[in-house]
Amino acid sequence: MISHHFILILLLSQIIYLINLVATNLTSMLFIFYTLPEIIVHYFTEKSGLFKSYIRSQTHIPVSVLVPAYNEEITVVNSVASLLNIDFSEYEVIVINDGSKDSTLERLIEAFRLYPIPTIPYLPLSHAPIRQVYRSSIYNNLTVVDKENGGKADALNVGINLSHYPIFCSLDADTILERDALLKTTLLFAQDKSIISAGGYIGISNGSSFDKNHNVKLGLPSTFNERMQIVEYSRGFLAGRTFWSAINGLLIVSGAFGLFRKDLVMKIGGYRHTTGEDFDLVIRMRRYCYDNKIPHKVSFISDIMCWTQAPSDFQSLLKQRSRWQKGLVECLFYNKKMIFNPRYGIIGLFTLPYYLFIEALNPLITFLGSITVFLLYLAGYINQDTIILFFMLEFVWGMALNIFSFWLKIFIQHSYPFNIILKFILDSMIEPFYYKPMIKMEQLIATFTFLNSDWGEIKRQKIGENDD
Amino acid sequence: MTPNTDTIIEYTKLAILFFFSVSILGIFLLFIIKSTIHRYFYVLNHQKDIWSKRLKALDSKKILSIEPPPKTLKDIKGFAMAIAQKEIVTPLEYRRACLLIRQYSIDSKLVQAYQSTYFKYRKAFLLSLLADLPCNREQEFCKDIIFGKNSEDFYHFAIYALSKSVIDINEAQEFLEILSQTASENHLGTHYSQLLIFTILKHLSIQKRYSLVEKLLKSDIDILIIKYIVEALGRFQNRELKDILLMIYNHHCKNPEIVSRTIRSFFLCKIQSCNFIKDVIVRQEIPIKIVCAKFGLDICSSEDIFIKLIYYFFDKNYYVRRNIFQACLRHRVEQDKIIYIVNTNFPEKSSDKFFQDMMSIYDIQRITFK
Repeated sequence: MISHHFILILLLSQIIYLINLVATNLTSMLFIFYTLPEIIVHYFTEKSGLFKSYIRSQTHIPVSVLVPAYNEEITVVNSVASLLNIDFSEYEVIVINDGSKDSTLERLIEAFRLYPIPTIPYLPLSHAPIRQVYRSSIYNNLTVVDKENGGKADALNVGINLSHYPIFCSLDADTILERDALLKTTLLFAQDKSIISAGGYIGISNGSSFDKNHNVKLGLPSTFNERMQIVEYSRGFLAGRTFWSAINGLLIVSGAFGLFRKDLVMKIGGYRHTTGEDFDLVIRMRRYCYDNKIPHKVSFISDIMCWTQAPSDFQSLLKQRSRWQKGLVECLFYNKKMIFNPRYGIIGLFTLPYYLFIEALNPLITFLGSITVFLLYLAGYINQDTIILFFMLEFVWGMALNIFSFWLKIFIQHSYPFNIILKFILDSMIEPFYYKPMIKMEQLIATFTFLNSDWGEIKRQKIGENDD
Repeated sequence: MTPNTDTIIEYTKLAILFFFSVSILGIFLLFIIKSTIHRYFYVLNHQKDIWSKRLKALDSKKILSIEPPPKTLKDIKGFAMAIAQKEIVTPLEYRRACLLIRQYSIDSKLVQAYQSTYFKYRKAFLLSLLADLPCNREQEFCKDIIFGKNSEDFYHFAIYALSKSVIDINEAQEFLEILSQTASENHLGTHYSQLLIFTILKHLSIQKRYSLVEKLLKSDIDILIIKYIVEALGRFQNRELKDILLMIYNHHCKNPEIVSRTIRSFFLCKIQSCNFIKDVIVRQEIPIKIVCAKFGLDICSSEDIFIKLIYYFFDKNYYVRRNIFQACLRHRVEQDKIIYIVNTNFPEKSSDKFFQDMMSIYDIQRITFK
């Protein structure tokens, strides 16, 4: 006999589930609707001659590009080569080999004819010991640092220490940068000195190929997981981040491509060894600015800035999502005092509560909600209509949002053939039944194990490998 | 008592259906918007190509007249895009482009179109077209946007468009005053301000630039604008700007930021002046020492200055030491020469730890330094 109190608890959890579900879908819709006019304005002004004048005047801000690499022997040479061929006159590339166990360093030495150089020791940010610094005999602006393993945050701190320029760009070693990415992003810093960090939309390179001039030939990734990540990136990154940036509430600048003001990063002690070091860094930078009453902004460009490889196998994908969830929970935990704190403006009152209730707690609420729906149904407390209701909320609305997000992506990237679009739409309809539950489950586990922050290894493919 | 949920469920179902329908409608709407915009740009690019060809044909002619002239808004946009895309290098090309723009009132027609449209994206696009024109005479319109009389926030485009409208010293001075009044509240960055100043100085002769700076130095213009002018002058990489830079330096020699920027601009313009370096090398302000260590050797290569620069190896500031080290590498100075100078002139410093470290790696760095 099920007690009355137990039923009330189940019903209460149903209400929470319902509120969370509606809130999640409504915020997604809000992001998309709010983002659309912003993207249209951007679309109409992106071809402005301002960039041309900016290049010609030689007044752009020089940038240090930092590329931490750990076991990236497959992709690192192509990525670094692409970095050395971009539209920007004054920049340096610092690749930090973070104690790779494979032949990442050897590949770099061979491809770029590196030779060892002694360094001038000035290391304000602490990190694991440096073994050797190399310089390229082909490219004047390429430096490679070989250091003992200390994690991504540690590697980035080395890069910051050795960098020369006021802005640094953190970039993943498997990333292909768009030729004008640095130009577009530094123009933001030039236009608005209150910008402390900026990022851009990251395209998924799986299935696509690139020529030497970074021109992309868009292709269809071979697996369902890869295709679904494209849709997911459109929904979460493009719509979500454009919205938060527009209201100056952005907290995440992706580690795959992000530009930061070096002086401010130095002031807060550089990167911290956390699972979500990019999220943590932006929160601490903003917190520092709020605490010291420094006007500041974190910006996002709704334009493809770079291409990165998404995990192609399910295991790697789950590991990545688990890491993201752990990073999110960890950052929220460390910055719990900022949540609902009016002192921290929009991020205290809106962004962090959003990340807490809609992002971090969502897997748990969805899990409990889904179980209680069936328990209540089996016990005869809810009817078939209610089941259909939840089904529609969770799946049908989700499908519509997926398709909507995908159109947003097509808005900024114009060259998908119709058959690929159709395939994506079909995939978007399957996603809520297969892909989403698996990801949520992994996130749920990660929520409770965030203290065990192992990065795991993601299987890499050679860029452009899928070409015919 | 079991709560009766039937009514709630019915209403919730209706709400979901509503949102779902909105989503589906939205997808169609998005598809239509996307197709419309694509078509719009396709037509516009076609127009641009037509006008590019006509403008190219005009290059070889003395008379500036196009038949048929741009009449419709589509023509005006195509014309604006074509002329903005045109490579303008010489003052003559610039004058011809400006004459054409004025002859067919391209700028004012774009402004009219801006004022008659409601949509933000169209306003942004029209303003970006105006800003892309090599010149315009729509100063009042730009000022209205800059001072926030317009509801939309297009400050960056408007101030850029205004910089393109400057044709003489008075307008340049007025522009710089507007810049100094509005840059701070709009958080305008240093590099963008430099771009604007570079744009206004570009079409002024060296004599006019001199007169403008002279006028500004007598006025009470924000010191920040003077700093930007010094930086922007450096970007021209023209030795003839020496007098202007020296005039600014003499007027603001107490300001370390102006001095350090002047050193950098001397370097960029490849100006040689040992007197200038002699004057600044004795300064103790850190920004000056950092820049002097970096570029001093480029501006003056005399022996006595070189000895004084070598003393920077023993400075307390890391960046001063690093910069003189790199400057010596860049100039391929022999290690023996540095050690000899130190032993002869500053023997008490020869055991300096940093200096010894530097010298231990100097040769390998010098051989490989590119």
